[in-house]
Amino acid sequence: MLSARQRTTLYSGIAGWTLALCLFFPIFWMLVTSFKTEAEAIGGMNSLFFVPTLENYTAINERANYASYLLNSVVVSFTATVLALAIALPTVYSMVFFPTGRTKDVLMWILSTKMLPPVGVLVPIYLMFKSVHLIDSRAALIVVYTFGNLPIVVWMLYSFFKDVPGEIIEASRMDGATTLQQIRLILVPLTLPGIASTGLLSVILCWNEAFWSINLTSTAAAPLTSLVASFSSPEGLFWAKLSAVSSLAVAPIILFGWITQKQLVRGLTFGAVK
Amino acid sequence: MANITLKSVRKAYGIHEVIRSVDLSINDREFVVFVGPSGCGKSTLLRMIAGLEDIDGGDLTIDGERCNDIPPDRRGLAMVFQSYALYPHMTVEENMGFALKLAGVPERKRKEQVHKVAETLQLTQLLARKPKDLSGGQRQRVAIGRAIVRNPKVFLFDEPLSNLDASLRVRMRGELIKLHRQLDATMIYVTHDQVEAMTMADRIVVLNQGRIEQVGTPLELYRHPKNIFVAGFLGST
Repeated sequence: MLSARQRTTLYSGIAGWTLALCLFFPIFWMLVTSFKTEAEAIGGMNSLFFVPTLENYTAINERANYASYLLNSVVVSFTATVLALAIALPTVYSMVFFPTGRTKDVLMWILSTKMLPPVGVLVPIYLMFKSVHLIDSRAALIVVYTFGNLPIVVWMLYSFFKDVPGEIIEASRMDGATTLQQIRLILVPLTLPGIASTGLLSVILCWNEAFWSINLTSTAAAPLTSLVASFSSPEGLFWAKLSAVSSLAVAPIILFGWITQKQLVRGLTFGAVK
Repeated sequence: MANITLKSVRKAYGIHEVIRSVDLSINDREFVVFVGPSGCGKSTLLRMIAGLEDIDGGDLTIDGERCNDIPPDRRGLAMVFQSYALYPHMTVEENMGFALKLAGVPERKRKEQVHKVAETLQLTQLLARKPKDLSGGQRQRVAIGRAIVRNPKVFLFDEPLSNLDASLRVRMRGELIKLHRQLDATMIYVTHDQVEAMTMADRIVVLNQGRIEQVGTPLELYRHPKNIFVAGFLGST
């Protein structure tokens, strides 16, 4: 017989694995499908056993220049994240350490921009970028992503900075640290895990963003999400190719997330500094 | 040398007045204790002198110079916080040398100064440690050391002993008095503990609801309290 503790461990282990497998299954299925022929791909369970083929990947390679889409995704995601962090750091610093009676309202107001459905501002934003000739440019995506993710970046940083005792910042002021030095030498080192996980989340959100990338880009600045979308259009759905291109699109970010997961977990469970 | 003068100094948060026209002059090398019930404004007053809170009205002068709009680090003050406020990611040595580093003191000179102070506070063995590996009393000494290294004209203490256990508190009290004699500096000390006030102060400033009730030596206040509040507050010791 198992002791009570062993049973708890067993059950929570089963529950954890079940949940993890449920979450992982779509990615697994996508990956498996990407190695099937189109006929096998729509065959459902009948095609559980098949001879893996690389023909979908070859087809994608012939039709599109993967590297160019990848480069756009990397440049746009990381630039937008760095910009969002650069804007959010001093903003949140002042909100946390020099709050006014209205700081909470400002936070709410910042978040409220996220409550607006993006499609509601599609036309004005499209026209704005058109008038400055930035349609199908990385700059347009970077601007949209930077400000689109800013509310989330601000909110996450706010919770991390809140954990830093105000007296530590005051002590550094007494020691003669300028605002920039307080941020660079005290605040950033103390909240680095939090900043890193915020940045990582922002990169992932930018990477997977499809609405704006499909609407604002076509070829020159199109990121991987646009590439994926281009495979689900006029000629109908080609599940195997769609799976292959999706696998290619998420592979870099999954790899990136896997490498940084220790940092991410540490950041998201980041507690008191003391 | 450091005389501090407050002239009709005021502070309000919105319509709520926390400091109502305070006049006070603190002499060079004096050990002055601000005492009063919580919420009386003693910490706020100290933070206004430090430059961490803006002064809404009146004048603060240090050695004859008006300091209302001078940033904290240029007032020649050092402060020891209630929570010690050590930088958790720096070693004891880096903590103590931080102000010097910011001031552009070269590394060798900085090290020399830090080691000298560390020796007087018996911190030499701990210089390589991080704050989390120190006991409460040791952290307290590092916080004091960090203040001393800057060689300030005035030391400000914001309830520095309230986080220590009773026996350590008594010992640190003695060490602070000794330190005051050694350093020959002006010290302003905030506490809500009447015993600390009575045993450490050259002069006590009793505050209540943002006003000074009475200023005087411990015995003056004890023997000749100006009103019931002062008598009650110190007498309940």
